[in-house]
Amino acid sequence: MSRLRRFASRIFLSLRTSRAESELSREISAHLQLLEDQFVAKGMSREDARYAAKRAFGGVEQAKELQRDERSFRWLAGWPMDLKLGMRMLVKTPGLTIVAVIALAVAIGGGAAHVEFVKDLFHPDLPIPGGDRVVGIQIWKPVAREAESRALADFATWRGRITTVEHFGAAAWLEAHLITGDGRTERARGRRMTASGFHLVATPPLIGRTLVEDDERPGAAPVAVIGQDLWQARFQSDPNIVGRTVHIGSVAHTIVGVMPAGFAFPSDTNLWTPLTMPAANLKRGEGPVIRMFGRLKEGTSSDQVEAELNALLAAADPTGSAQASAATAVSADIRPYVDSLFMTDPDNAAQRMVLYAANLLFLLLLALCGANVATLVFARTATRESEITVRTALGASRGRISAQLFAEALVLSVIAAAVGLAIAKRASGWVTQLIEQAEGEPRPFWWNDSLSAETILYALGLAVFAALIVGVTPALKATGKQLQGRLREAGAGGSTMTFGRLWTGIIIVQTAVTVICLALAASLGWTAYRGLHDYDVTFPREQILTAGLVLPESADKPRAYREIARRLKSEPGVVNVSYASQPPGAGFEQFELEFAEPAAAASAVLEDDVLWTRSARVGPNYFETVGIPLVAGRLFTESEIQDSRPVAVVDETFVRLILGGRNAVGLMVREPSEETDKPGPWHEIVGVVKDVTIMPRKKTDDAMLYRPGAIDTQPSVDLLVRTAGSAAPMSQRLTVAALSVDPDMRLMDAQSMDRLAEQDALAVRFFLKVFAVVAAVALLLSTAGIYALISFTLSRRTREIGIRVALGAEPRRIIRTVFSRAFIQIGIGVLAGALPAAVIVGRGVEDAGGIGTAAGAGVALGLCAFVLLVAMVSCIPPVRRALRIQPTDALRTT
Amino acid sequence: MPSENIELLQGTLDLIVLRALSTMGPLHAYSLAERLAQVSDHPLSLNQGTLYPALVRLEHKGHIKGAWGKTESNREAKFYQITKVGDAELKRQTEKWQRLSGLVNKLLTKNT
Repeated sequence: MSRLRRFASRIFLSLRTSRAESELSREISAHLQLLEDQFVAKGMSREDARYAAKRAFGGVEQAKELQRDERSFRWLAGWPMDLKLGMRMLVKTPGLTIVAVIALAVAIGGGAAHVEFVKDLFHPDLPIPGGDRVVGIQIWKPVAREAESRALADFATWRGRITTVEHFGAAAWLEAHLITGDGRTERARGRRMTASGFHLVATPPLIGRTLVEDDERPGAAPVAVIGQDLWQARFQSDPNIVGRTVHIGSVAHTIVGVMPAGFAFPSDTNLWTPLTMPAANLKRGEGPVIRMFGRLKEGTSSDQVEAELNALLAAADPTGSAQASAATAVSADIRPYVDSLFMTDPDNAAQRMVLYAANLLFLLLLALCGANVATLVFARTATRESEITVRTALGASRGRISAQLFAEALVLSVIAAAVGLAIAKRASGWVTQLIEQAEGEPRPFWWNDSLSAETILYALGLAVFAALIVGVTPALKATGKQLQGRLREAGAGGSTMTFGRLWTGIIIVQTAVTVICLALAASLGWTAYRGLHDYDVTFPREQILTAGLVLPESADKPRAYREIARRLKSEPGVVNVSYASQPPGAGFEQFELEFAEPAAAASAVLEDDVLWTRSARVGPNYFETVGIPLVAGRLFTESEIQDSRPVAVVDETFVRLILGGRNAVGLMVREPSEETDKPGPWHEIVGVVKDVTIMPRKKTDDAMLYRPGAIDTQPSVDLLVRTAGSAAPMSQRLTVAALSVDPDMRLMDAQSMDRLAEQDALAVRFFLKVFAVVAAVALLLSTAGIYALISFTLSRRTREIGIRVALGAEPRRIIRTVFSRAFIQIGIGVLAGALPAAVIVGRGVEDAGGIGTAAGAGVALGLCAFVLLVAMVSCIPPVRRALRIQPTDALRTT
Repeated sequence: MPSENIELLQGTLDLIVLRALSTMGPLHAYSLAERLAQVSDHPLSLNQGTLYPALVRLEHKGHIKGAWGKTESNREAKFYQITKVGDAELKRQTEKWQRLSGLVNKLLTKNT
């Protein structure tokens, strides 16, 4: 009790010092007065008595210090001053501040952004009442290790009986186009959902009503609720929207309400229709794919829900026949909502650990940056040596001085953390935007750009970690054993602290790491840049419209396609129509080659001992539509495509790299399928066409082999429409024309091919930016480190330089002798980095079909020269300072 | 360096101060120091200033409390007085000390 009381008093008095201080002064002067009176009474003069009193009392300041130590926590009391000093140091050495903040901010920001990303991915704060209790429910098949997502039958059984979950509901994809009265069509992000989804989120509708249980009755009039974005974009914010009729696929629906922006449950939905309950004889494994959700009742655990549902599962299977067989045994699996959307495997802890462990990379980066900044701080500390020495002489303990240097470092790292968090916020915004643009879909409703409290706390933790590295290491070094010796030499002028082995090592490692970092950035950057140019093609991309086409299984696919092609061709501006298994020049299937004539591919250079080519299965008029000219032989006939006959057309790269320029027409190829031991059919090469992609240094696996692909043999194809002018403005009109054939078919992501290429390039550009930032930070740190090393060397040898100048030494000689050690360290670092850099550039770039080992070594040498040049440049200011040293000034400092 | 002064064991100063306040009633730091010098045959290695940490420690623990007053010579001074908590603590610490010192005594005499 008394201990606690004392602890509280000390804390209190650490923060409120002024009253305690004046009380102490008053008490001690009263004490001295009494002592003085006593000595006067003994017959001393007032003057003598005063001195005698002070002697008897002992050191007044020491007594005060001791009392302060007992009264408060000194380190706590000293903090405001230390922090103030820290702020002042930042302003005093702006160069160091900027470099340190940038370096630490990138590392802290990266770590924070990663934590935020993982949190948003796995356990975001759902903007739903009781969001932490919202769960996803699925039926798990332990043997097959997969979820049974066709579980509408089970859902129908459970929904009337379940007691541990409220607003128990389910949602299924709504795979159809939204077609409005004016004939416009759009692939809305639709879901068929139970009304309980609306009750769960409890967001009131903007207009009209949400879906209700009555809508789910079999035979109820079809209704739909739309999202605000759809309402604004497609219905011009029509206030009389309720009651309007739209077609979803071929079925007419009445719009009954509009949900406000921000409501997109279950993930990114903007069109909802009721999930109607199935006929009674539906079995597990039949019906649509659904996801079940609900909120745990207050005070209920997911284990209880699992137990209840497992009991219901057992009750539905009274004979136990399903559970008896391991293959058909199922159990209920309950997990936090978002978790359940992303990963279906209940045992995903390991995957999560891997994602979280990736944060170690950022810790490592922070440690590296911190060590670098520590070098700089140590160099600065060396210039404050006399301050530290004097403070030690006045009684400041090692801990006290370390605490001050730590506080200074903390100010630095907290500012860096703030900058880092700002970067993290921007970066997560960019990444989200990037994903949205690349996917063409909005983020899920729980994904926000704001940083969570956990992320901010984590960043602050990183700041303390950085401050420990940055502040404490130099502090311990600066206040170490040699301090006493320095006290004696303090008057001798110049710094006596030494850049020990540790720091020398750091400089060398850092220079080497910089060279390697630049090599990595160059290699990855070049690879990514080349990736961009993979999309350089020989055909007019902007004149080709692509869209994913899925025809309903029930339809007569060849007939439906012929009709689509006929209607599209009759549209003005359309030149030709075709389809393929993927758009030209982008994406491909692999085709492993085996020749009937073994000598055919003798000259081919093999990748991994296997002869691969790219392959696509194409529809009628494909080559004419894309605009690929025939070079030799012939193209596919209509009947060859209809029957998917074993014939092939290859491109010029195939002829050049695989056949060594020989005639391809008439050769037979097939896939030697290893898995089944049953090779594919022999394909006869009937023609050779021009390449569609332009790439320097193509390899054999860039060659292309086209095969005929009948529409009914493929679940989905890419519809290709060649237009006379720009394709982009026609996409809506052509979608409508195609859909008029069968409103139940799906036409996805209709856009011109140049837009597609742009989307693909987005990610590449982003990574190029990231590489650029990492390389810039490495270079900045290295430059700053070298500058610190030279400055430090200079501050140590000011006096020596002064004497040399006085003795008439040549400036060049001074520079050489004084800085030779620093240059040797940098040289060693550059050499150490050169070999790995050469390997990285040579290998890395070569893998991407690039420049080869010799050129790689050349690039590495160039990088080394660049780093040396940067080192030289960063030496200029200290060297100039050194040459300006006046002998008189240098010697006067004694 | 050999010294005639007795180094106080850590923590014993608090006990001595409590004892003095318990016997003498309220005292200020000066008279407390005088009292300690008076009762010890050997001069303690105690500058008068070293009392202050002990006083603030005891005050924080609630064992003593201080109040400003006037001395006989009409000088102002802060008088310290033992509290009830302090009394109890003194009793406990005294017993503990006596047990410990008795034991140490016994051990030392037996070994010599």
